[in-house]
Amino acid sequence: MKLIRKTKAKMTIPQTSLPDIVFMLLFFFMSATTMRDYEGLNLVLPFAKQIEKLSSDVHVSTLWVSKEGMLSVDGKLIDINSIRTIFYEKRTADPQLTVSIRADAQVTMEMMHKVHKELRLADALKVNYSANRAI
Amino acid sequence: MALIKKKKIPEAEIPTVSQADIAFLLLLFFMATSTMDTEKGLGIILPPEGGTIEVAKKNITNLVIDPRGKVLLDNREIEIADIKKTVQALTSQNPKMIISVKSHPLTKYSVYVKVLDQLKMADARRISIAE
Repeated sequence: MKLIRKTKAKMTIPQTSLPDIVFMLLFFFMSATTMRDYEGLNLVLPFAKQIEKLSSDVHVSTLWVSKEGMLSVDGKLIDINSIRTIFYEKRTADPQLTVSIRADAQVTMEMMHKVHKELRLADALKVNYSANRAI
Repeated sequence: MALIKKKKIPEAEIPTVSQADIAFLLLLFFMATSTMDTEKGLGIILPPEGGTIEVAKKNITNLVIDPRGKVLLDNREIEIADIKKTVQALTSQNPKMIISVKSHPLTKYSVYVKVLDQLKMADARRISIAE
């Protein structure tokens, strides 16, 4: 009586699609990465505990305020009186606009009052004060 | 003469064996450099320009920050760390309570953010920024 040998099933994971999977992941990370080098001012943010993430990255415009009183938007130094025109234009282009204020912890409220006033004139009322998480 | 050797045509292929390694290398680079950070901070809605609304006095609490960073809640001095508890008590008594934050022009922005942080922690929904 002859015994018929069962052929052994191959126990290897197919590796032919490995590069495809890796490329897929690669494209994901390439598209998700934001190589954002901040073109803002040199400042130290204040600390807060109850900070929340902004819901979207798209409808955000950042206004930088340094302790020397310099203001910057989109990498350009601006005059305080031009905030209203700049943000009015931004606000009309994007009604969901949130103004992210990145101000130095040492800035006085006098400056912030002026900034508030200008933003109110520009009707850009949704504001977010950038802060680092306090431990 | 039958013994003419045929010249071998050299193969012109790019080796694809290392393709996966290169892809992995790029993948690791992008994984390491990607920062999926979103902007973080304290959100607030500024009052519209020009619009003044009359509010009943019992529904408003004044919170004043002086240049030295001292905080007065309805003219009584209060520690910044205690704002949360006091405001929570106020809003639970009167849910319509508006906290009106006034800050002196010489107040530091960091103190203002700390005070706003406390108000956010107290879950105060009605915050008004006065100047």
